[in-house]
Amino acid sequence: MTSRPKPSATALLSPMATSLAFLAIVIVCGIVFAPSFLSVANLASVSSGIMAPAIILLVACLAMTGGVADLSLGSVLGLGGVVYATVLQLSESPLAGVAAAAAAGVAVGLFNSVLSVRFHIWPLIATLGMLVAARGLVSVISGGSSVAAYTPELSAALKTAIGPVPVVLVGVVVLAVLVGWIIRYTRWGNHLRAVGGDDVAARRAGIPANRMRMWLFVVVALVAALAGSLQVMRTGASAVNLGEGVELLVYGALLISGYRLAGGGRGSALSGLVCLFALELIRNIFRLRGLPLPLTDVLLGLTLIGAVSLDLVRGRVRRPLIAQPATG
Amino acid sequence: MSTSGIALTNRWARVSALAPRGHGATTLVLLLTWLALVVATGLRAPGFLSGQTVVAVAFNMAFVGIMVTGVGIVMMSGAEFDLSVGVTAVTSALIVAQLLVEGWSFPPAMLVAVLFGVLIGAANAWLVLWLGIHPIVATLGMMFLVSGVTRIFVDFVAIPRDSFLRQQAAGAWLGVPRVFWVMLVVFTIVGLVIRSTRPGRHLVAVGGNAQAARARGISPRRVQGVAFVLCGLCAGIAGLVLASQGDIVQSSLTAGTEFRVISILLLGGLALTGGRGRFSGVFASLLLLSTLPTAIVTWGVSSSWQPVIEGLVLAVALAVNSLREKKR
Repeated sequence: MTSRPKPSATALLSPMATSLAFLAIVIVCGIVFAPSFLSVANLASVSSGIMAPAIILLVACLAMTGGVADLSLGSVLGLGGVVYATVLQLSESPLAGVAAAAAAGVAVGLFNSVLSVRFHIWPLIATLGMLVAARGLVSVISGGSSVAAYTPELSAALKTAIGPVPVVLVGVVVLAVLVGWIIRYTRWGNHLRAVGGDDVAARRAGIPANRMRMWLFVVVALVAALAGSLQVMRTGASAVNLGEGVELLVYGALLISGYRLAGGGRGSALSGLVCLFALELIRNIFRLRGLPLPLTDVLLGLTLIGAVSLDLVRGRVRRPLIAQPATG
Repeated sequence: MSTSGIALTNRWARVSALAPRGHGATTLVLLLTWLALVVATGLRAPGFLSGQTVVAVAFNMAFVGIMVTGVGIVMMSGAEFDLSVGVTAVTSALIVAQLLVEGWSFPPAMLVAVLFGVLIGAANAWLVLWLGIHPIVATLGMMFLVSGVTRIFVDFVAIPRDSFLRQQAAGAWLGVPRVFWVMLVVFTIVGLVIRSTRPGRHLVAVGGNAQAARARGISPRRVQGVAFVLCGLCAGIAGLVLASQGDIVQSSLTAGTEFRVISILLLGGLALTGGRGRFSGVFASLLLLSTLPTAIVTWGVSSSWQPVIEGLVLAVALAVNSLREKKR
């Protein structure tokens, strides 16, 4: 006879419950410290501002399910943005810009995948080099200053809203549901979870684990570069520090919602999105209060360490559920 | 006769275990590459072979070399690496500079700066060994935490011209900055301690196989904890070296150094998983990678390529390390 876990413990294990609790705490803090953040205009600007990180979060969540955590995402976001802006300036064609950004993303993804999969290096470590190199390429290409790339019609299209709700937000939520469905209900998603959980077992079952991982690297980098060009389309310029720290924001959110860096875990795309929104709200509250900018870095550092610690707490809660010697 | 034969074989086995084949070759290859780099750059731009270059490279080596020593201890102990050394060093430099500005005398200011490094090292040890967070994640979080907190308070500090630091440490001995000799002493002592003392062998044993070390009564957690604290200590000392040069200390001074440190260790032949490698190879690789930036600028390449090259070097170092481990 096994004892039932306490309700609070099961809530910690459910990704959505944790994420919503986190969001609720942030909103309460916001109401206390910066009441103006509840205005519709501010919330709309926050939710459209996280477009690029949100898109990256969705693919990162696919990749993490398969055990691929790519630290170069933020740099590749910046690279995609600056390549798009530069090509747009030269050719005056947004399509060429997007194609160039996509090509850059694929190239980076191939590099990462060869390094990690062929040389058997843990993804987090293998992508450290690209984290530095891609960020360096951004300043090489842009010459160290921001590149203007304003296209009125694209910018307007990305800023349209139905009432107070930005269209991109709707798009991102739809994508999140789609990603969740792929992971849970398709054969490919099933294989993905198998590879992330135990790749030796997956390989024995005939799943091409290495090939799947290589694809994941390429897809993640490609989407990060595309998200960078979308971001530039929306804002009209590519800053040198575009996307700096985004990888920590994204992985922090995913870790809070229950994913694990080593692969597997029990998060979901939607709950990751909720956490990302909560983290962005914290940054927004900082900004509204006029707090110093480096505080954001402190937040990112604390999130990363805190999120992993949360995973350890979860492990402690879960363990009695699995191997329960009937003690009490 | 036969007993002495056995003793001889045993001793030979022990010696060859201490000096595995390949390390000498690694050092030789690195030194030859360095020589080729120096000769090629010298032929192209004779101005390269000047006292000025020697001073620049030697200072580079001093600052990076002390951090390499610290992270080398961590890597040897099997705790992978510490990404927070760069910001820890710069913060300790800012601390010593600020204290000198406020009129402290040098010894207590120095002590505070070094203690700060030790504190960060202890915090890392706690996160990694007691909470069980993976070293990359824990020290990456720590890196953002420290740099954020530092920049909230101070961005740059001018160092008083009449301080002991500027008067004494900035001078040269035998044409090379004094701080270089400091680094050389620290590096040599640590290298010798690891190779031929009991604590050093414990370190290598834990790095090579923590389980086996535990079976022999060595506590891996304690050894790795000491490694992290020593690494923090080295970062603090590196901060003093940084503060002894130039007129101001700036919080953005060391961006990317932590990645160069890892490249140096991996290229130099330390195994990422710990327990293998020699410090002679690391020194050769320190020489090569500290000369490279100056040489590249002499070749007429814009210095904004610097991070790109560093990132690629890190990727190559990881690949080389992986190949070396596979051969084993």
